[in-house]
Amino acid sequence: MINMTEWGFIFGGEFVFLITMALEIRRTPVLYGEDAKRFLKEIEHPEQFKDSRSKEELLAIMEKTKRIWAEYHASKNDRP
Amino acid sequence: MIDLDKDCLIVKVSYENTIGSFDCGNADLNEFFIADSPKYHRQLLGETYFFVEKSTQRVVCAYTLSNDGIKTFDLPNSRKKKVREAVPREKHMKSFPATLIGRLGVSKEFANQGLGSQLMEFVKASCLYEEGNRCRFLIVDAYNQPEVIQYYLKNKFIFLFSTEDQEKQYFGMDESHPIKTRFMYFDLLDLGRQLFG
Repeated sequence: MINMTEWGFIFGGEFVFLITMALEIRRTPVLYGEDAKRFLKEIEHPEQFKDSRSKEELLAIMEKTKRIWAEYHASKNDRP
Repeated sequence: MIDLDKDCLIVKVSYENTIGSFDCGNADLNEFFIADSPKYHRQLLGETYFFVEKSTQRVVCAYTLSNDGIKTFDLPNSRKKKVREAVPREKHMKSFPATLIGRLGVSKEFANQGLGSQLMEFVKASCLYEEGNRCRFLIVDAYNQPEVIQYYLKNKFIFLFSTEDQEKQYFGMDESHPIKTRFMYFDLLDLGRQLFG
């Protein structure tokens, strides 16, 4: 039989956390009907997401990103 | 102005590396980053990263990413239930790989320095750099508040559902209740083409 302390742990700890997370994961979107058609049409034209910056500016952002990850991987910060 | 590259270090959250103190002005986000993100990590539900200012060790901003997808079921709403029963699901289903921005916040101490945009640039570039060609979209279930929606629109995200009513209908919400979050997405394809040809 589960005593009060154990019930307290179950309802106060990971159990509640897992239920919350399960509810969150359930929100993964599925598009139907007109929304699906619109979405499929939109993604045929990825240029609407085009960044207004020049290629040089975008490459600079990518270089900056690479430097951040290189520093991260070289450190101990990526240990699980 | 603080620079994520020059002034900060990125750290991945785990039980050993937790976010001790953080205030982005939203109590739910703060609680998630401080208390829940290590559990999220341990349950393999998502990875949280945070940037720490090198000189002061203060947490500047944080974000959580998870694997996700966008699925389309190409039938009119009125017919979907009937057809679902008769036709195998796979015939109509298309699934696109996506990365979900589960949480994202900038510390109030570093607000109004353009860090939100810097962080989003970094997240987009990281998806292309770290994920390679395995992820087409970034998606976010954004708080339906003007400043939050404006932030994502400014960063070229667009709404996944055309109207709030469509989104409410999809999630089976009462139409009279305000919708708290809106799904938005960003297509990484064009950025990838601009960068890598």
